[in-house]
Amino acid sequence: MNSKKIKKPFLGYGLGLRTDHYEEILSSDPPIDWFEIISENYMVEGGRQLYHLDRIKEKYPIVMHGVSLSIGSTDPLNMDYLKELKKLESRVNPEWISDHLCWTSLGGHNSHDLLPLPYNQETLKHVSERIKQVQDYLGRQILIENASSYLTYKASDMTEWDFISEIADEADCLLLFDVNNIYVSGFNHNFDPKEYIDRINPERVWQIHLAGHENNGDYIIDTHDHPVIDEVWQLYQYTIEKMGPVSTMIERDDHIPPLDELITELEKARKLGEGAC
Amino acid sequence: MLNHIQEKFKAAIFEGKDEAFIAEIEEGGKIDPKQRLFIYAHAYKSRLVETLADDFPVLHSLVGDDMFEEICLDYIDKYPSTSTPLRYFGQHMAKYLQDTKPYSEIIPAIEMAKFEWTFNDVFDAPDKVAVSESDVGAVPPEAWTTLRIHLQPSFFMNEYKWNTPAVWSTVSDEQDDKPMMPQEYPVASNCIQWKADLKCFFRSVPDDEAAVLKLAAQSKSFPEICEQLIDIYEGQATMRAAELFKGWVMEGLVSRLEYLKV
Ligand SMILES: [Fe+2]
Repeated sequence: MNSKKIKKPFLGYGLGLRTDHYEEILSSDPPIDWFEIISENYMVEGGRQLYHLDRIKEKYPIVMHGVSLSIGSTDPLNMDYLKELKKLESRVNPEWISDHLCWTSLGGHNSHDLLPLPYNQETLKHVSERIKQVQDYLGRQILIENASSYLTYKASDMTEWDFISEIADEADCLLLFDVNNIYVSGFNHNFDPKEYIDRINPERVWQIHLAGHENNGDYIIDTHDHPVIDEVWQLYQYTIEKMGPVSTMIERDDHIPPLDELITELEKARKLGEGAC
Repeated sequence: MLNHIQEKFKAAIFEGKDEAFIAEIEEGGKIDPKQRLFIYAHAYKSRLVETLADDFPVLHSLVGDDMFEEICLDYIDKYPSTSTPLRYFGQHMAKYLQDTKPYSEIIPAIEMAKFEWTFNDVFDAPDKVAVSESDVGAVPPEAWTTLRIHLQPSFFMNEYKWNTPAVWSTVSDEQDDKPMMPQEYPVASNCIQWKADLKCFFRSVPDDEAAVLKLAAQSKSFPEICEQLIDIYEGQATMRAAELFKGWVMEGLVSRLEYLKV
């Protein structure tokens, strides 16, 4: 890739930008350091979403987070999607762009879900190659996020932490480290999240996601509709003690509370982060 | 082989053919492979049903919970999502209902799907600053013969045989949980939907206005619009055209005036 390497930036503590909070963000300038947008929500010609984004981006740094890159699919890369992504990038001028380590569509049909991949050399090669192509197309490194999962494959012969680390090295991409997803997958697949965190190269981790989930006893569904649980806060602390300060945000996609509540939750991350400096 | 695994996964969640895929799933842990797959299969359907419920709330009230769920599940099978953003998933609903028995006989339901979906298109359309009354005042009198009125990209007009827009408004106004009973109009009527200052609007239009809106949407000139009205209004045709045009400007329906500078 030809693009210049930039030193890891630290944006502070952010939130996912949600429709419910647009007016309040614009009228009260809340103490949030940056916002993450779901890229697909703004791939439109007009309307309220773009109107508010255009105004909020004047006041806050923005990062773009996608759910449709389908980087692990055996379909060809979706160039229409990448074109839209680039168009949005030039409108928003984001600090960075991210998507998930998963696949979402096949044969042109979209599951609209983050489906897991088998962890082996074949997938590793396939995904790394595609990340390189995307980075070449966008002219910048992208961040890849570890998704939570509910199943693993017989075809896997490596751990998720080795898999994602090797992809990052092979494709020379960056990581969006979702601490909640590591907790969820650890619970669902019976591994120790700390072993995962220990294996990750801190240099690659530019962003952290925190979120809540729904524990059904035998398994956890990653619902993003609850506050972050204590165990995940502890893992976050463990992560930043290892990695140093990383731009961190809380993801809330359902049962969205008033902005104040999320800011209070975010202050907890800030306190832990500042303590770890 | 990655591709084979993905094909099997897709067959399992899209078509319910799950045996081949279950054999690929690692065993062990508190839940078995079947339950693990079920989490994904269930999430796939419920996400799409939820999307349709968001897009078609009044269709949902019209047909009731049970029929709406049947419609959604069958629609998901017949029109698997091919678009990247989830919000286009429901775009074929009116066509699906029209093509599928017994829904093809429930005209108010088909019309409601069309009406509700049109609002999605209105909502996402490009936003252009509306032409103001002073912009109209600035058109030199001699330029009116070449004037073309461009409507907002968010302008849509559809014909309804039933009182679909009125039924929609009883539910969306939240005056009542139950929609009013649909009624067939004596003659079909046109309804326009558009957006001004980020808000969506709709209203019924009389036949003469519908005819000239069609011409305006094709960027026909003001004299052509007047001519359309001559049959009904004779000598008053220009006055009627001017009156309609003024109304469109006030409603924010006009995005550009094009005329030759003489
Ligand atoms: Fe995440």
